[in-house]
Amino acid sequence: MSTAAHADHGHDHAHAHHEPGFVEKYLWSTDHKMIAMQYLFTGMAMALVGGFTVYAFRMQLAFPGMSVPGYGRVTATDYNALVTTHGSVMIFWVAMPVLIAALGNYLIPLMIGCDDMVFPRLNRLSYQLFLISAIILVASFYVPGGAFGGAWTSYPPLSAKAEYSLTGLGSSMWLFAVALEFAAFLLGGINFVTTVMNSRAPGMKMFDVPIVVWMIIIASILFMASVGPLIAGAIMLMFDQQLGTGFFDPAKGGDPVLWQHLFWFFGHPEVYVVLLPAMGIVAEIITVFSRKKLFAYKTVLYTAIGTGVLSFFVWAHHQFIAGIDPRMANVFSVTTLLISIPVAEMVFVYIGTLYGGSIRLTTPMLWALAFIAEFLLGGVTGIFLGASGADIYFHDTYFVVAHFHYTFFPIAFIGSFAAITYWFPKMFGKMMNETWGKVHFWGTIIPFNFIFIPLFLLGIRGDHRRIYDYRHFPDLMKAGMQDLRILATISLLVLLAFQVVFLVNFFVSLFRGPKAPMNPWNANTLEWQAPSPPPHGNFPQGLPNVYRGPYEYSHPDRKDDYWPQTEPASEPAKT
Amino acid sequence: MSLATAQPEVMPAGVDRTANRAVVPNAVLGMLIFAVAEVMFFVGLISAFTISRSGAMPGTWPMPGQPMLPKDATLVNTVALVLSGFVLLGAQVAWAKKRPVAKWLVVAAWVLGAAFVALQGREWAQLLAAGLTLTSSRLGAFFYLIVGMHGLHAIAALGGLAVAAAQLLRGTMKGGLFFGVQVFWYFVVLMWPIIYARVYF
Amino acid sequence: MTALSLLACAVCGAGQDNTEWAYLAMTGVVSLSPLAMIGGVAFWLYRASKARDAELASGAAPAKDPS
Repeated sequence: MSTAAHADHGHDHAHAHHEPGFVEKYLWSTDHKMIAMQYLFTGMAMALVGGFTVYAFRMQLAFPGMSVPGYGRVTATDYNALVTTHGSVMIFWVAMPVLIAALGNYLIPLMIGCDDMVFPRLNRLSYQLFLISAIILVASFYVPGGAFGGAWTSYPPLSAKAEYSLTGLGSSMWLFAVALEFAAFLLGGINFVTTVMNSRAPGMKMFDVPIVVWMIIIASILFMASVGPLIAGAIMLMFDQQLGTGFFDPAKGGDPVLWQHLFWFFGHPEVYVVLLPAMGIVAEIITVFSRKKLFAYKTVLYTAIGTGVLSFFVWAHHQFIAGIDPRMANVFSVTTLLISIPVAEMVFVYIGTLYGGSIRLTTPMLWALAFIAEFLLGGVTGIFLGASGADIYFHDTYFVVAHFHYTFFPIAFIGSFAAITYWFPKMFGKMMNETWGKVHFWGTIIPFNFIFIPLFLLGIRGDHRRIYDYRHFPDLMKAGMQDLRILATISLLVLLAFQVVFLVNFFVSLFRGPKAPMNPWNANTLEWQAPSPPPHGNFPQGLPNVYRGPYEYSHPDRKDDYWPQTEPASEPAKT
Repeated sequence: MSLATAQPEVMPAGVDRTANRAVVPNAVLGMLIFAVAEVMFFVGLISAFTISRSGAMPGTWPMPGQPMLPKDATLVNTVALVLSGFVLLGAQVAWAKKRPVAKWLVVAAWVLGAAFVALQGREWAQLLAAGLTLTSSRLGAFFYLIVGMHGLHAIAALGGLAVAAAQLLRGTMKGGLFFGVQVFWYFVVLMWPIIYARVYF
Repeated sequence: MTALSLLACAVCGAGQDNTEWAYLAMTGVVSLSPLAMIGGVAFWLYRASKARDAELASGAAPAKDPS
């Protein structure tokens, strides 16, 4: 663990040197771009923590009992802590900060044409709370008993009492870190919605706002509307752990299933909270690189709103075997299957955008196309799990693990890589290396499929997901099952090794890359009308006026195949 | 938008367009969104309370031998808090009409709110003395959790109201803070009757 | 405490009418209240921005380019 924790600090220092000013100024900036960078680099550092934990426990699963290089022997308690930390970190400290906080902070003011968020100090506080939460989470590895090992869903009674979880302090630190992190994103979300409502550039109507901004806004609203019950549950669980109340402890008359309701009421909308921004990123990239207007802008927008509304009615599909009323299970099966319709519709619209376009296969475009393909697989396997009958068989098998990794990996990593490679010239004023970008792309996508397709096969054969050492379960060691586990682990090693390519490309381009022009992709949206990188205040030549929607590519009335939002129509002489 | 009538290519730097575009004041919108999240927090607590209570064995809610919650005495608190909400609404009306009485109405609303918190504190002391504690029963746990969380919000809102009152008395109030504090105070006021009706009865 | 653990039973209410009613009612309340609140705020903002646009349109020329 210590290597990952050190890598964490290494990034912060590297970044502090590259930005003018001191660490104090770096931590106390209220500039939305700086806060976005803080979120991005913290998220990347936490991704290393999440990657290191998965490395350690996958090695244990493939080669049980071995001394994992760089970690040592993984004990059963370690295994639980590693799995829990992997899940929590990847969702709460990687997907959320990178997709919502970093991109939201970076893109919203630039894309709607204003100089900063409306509450800049609240924004700074948001990042500081987030950083503290990340530090608490990593620190929980070093307290007596170790980090929390009750899975990222933290079901009581296991999580409610130190006698059961054996990690009294670790459980409370985990819970506190999660609650603090939610408070941070709550502040961020308030900022996002208020900024988009009140600070749009003159002339920018609601339907001139780029889809990615809409998606981040809808995701923020979803987050803020669903997080309350989970914070309530987290406080109740904290009381159970530290003050001896019995909200969730059956031994005191509490109801453990109640936690599951409170958790999943947030937990499922959370999936859409991270999905929608990734969908928005893909929309931006595919329109730019197929030089075509986004097919059905308003449909995408209304579909996203519909997804948000439906996402409040699906949470109990996580509890089909928790003893809930079977009639409720029927209702939630239907709503779960229904929610695949708007998501499929969005994918369909994106394919419609690609159809007939002049497609340029740049690195960001490859990531965006891969997102559509891989997410589709995750969505289709979700249909099996959403049907309560099939779910009773699949529940807690590796089929579920493979399914949600086919959704979360495209969201958290493919989406983030698409966004980073696409906006890197704007963020840092340098171009990234395309060749190494493509090497990294193929080196990530191919092993990714080789990790999780074996897990689907294992899941279909009944492989239970919460097992530390399969040698104790002869039924799960039958012909070829261990080979599939080894295949998944080896593929993971390959995938992790290729991330070095990304990191090297990222930092070499950051310091030595060729200088980026203002608008390297010939895109329409407002952020490309600011210098690369944008200075404090974003638009030194004055804040822009907006005359048209964000996706006017290959317009017949214009010579150029793009038409920036800031350009009025009064120049037909060009044709 | 009116600034764009001359159709300039770009806006001159440093022009405050936020005021121009703002449909509702930033503080109101921000606080409103925060209040939505906060209402969901209390909805979560109240739903947990309702479900937990409905699952109790017959005759164990409230736990035999535990004190009853003082629903009649708490009616006084409730009236004080609701009244304070109306007084603050009056202060807003007076402030909009630039009447000087506005600042005294805010002070009155603060006093009523403080009276609510003080009465709640006295009630807690009595209940603790009578043996209702956080761990004595699930009713006790939920009571102290829900009412305590509401009390914390009330205290925070009183702090904001005090700052607003001080600014009004000094005549330095511009509006944003006042609106934001009002939204938060109405949230505290409106949440209480629901909690009172659910938890005390 | 002793009395509490003796009376403790997390599932004794299961199947009773009032327990089922509580679950269903709370499912409804928790799911619908965020939608109602967001819908209310969104509708209010929509009305407010319409009113603001009308006010601006009557006082000033539209900023949007006629194309």
